[in-house]
Amino acid sequence: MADEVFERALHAMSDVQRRSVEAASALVERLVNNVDGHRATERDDEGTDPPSTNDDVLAGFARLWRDSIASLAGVVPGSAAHTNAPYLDISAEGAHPALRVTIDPETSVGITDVWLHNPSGDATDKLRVHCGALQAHDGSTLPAMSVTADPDAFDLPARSSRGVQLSVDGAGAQPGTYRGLVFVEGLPDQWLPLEVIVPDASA
Amino acid sequence: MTALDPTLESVERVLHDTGRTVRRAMLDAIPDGEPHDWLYGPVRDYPLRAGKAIRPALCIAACCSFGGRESDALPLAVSIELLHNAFLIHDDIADGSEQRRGKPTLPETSGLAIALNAGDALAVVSNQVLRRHLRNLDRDLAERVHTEFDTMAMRTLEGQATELGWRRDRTADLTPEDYLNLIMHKTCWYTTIHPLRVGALIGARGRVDLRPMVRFGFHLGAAFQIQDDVLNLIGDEEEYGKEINGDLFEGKRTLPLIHLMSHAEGTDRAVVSSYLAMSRAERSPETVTEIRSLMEAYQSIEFTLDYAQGIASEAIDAFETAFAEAEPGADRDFVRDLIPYMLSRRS
Repeated sequence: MADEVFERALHAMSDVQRRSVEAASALVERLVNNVDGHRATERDDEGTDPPSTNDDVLAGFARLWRDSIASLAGVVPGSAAHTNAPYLDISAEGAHPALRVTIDPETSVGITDVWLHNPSGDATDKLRVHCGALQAHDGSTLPAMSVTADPDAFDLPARSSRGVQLSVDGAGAQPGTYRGLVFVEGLPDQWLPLEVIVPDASA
Repeated sequence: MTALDPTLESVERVLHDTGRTVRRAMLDAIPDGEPHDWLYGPVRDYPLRAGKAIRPALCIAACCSFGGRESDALPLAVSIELLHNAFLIHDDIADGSEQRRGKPTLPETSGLAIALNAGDALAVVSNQVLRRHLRNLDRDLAERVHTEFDTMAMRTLEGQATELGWRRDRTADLTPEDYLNLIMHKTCWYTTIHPLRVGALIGARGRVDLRPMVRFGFHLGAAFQIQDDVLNLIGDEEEYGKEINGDLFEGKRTLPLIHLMSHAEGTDRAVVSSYLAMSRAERSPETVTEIRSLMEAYQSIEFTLDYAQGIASEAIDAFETAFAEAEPGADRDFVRDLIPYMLSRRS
């Protein structure tokens, strides 16, 4: 039976089958656009209209990127980052919260997740998270290639979130705390600090 | 019963094993105590009956295909199955059904009010299981999973409302396209699309594009529902577990009925129109037999099987896209083999 179904698919379809395929495709197309779509036209659950300009989309990213920083760094307790509670403004002066990764002495690798949120009704394509070289107080560096992102590049459909895994290879690095910046290619105003701790294995 | 294709046998084995695990977990999650006879006993009734377990098996297999472990998805699979059981009770009340999984329905044995309350309780327990599990997840991932559950529940309720509305308003001018739209909401979202999306989301920890899951899940779920329409007409009552021709008694706008509605001519058309205008109580076995005979005469069942074949063939393409990034292995194979299984199942 299994083979029969797959084999039949290779042969010419009857008119009825073709009609079912066309009807199903049209329906799915409509639904996918409503759920994860590129151009949502319906009002959202709160009854507000989705942002309609690119600036609005980027503003939405900015707000939620800040949420991400605050929540990951533990600055905003509980679920405040996902409510209307105030959140840390990364443009403010003073110490910024950061993504923190501690290198596992056994594997020499440290891993963390960073999330991007798109609350708007428009999809944004071809985003890429990357990091520059990290530096310690004494001038020691972890090269940019030590930090890899998974997925490397991705799209963010309307009203969706996506986690990106950052892996830091600390093999051969001197013990200490290294600091650098994470950027998102495609979102020029977004960045967040990254702090990588390489423990002293001899301690 | 004829022997199954080995591929389909392995599908049945996975469903059987998953069903057993999920059933135990559901019963563990349901509290007991007083009032046992009026609440906790009825609440346990449907979870104690062996179901097909397609929803939890899909959720777990999708999770494992995208890098997760069974234990990552099991609580979500249990939550989905508990909600499914809640929907079944409310469905049986709305439809006036007599049999469920080979036994009298809960409304038949406990009365409408007790059954309605038990259905509510199962929905609450489902949410408890979900909430407990989400506490262990990254907050963003938890939020996404929660949103998926909200979306699934609303789509299902919209579909259920549409079907009930068609029956209440005796809507007759329906097309197969209307039917697909109905089952997309009523069946596919919570049977296939949601388990696939949630499983993949958890397995990949958010790093997967869920859009192709809608396309694949819809085609898989539509094949499931259309086969259900056919089994309700030509199935073996013992294997199928529900009363044969039950949909005809209830006046459900199934695909064979929609085909008959749009193709019947002359006096046959008058017979169909009169049948559609009746309430369930007014539909006698003779009326149902007459409609069933007209379906034979107008080849409505053949049309339905052909239509399902087209849907299933498209599901194969949709699967390859949705699972392009999945890890090869038994879990991925299981999901793929569910496509032919949907058209060959007898229960």
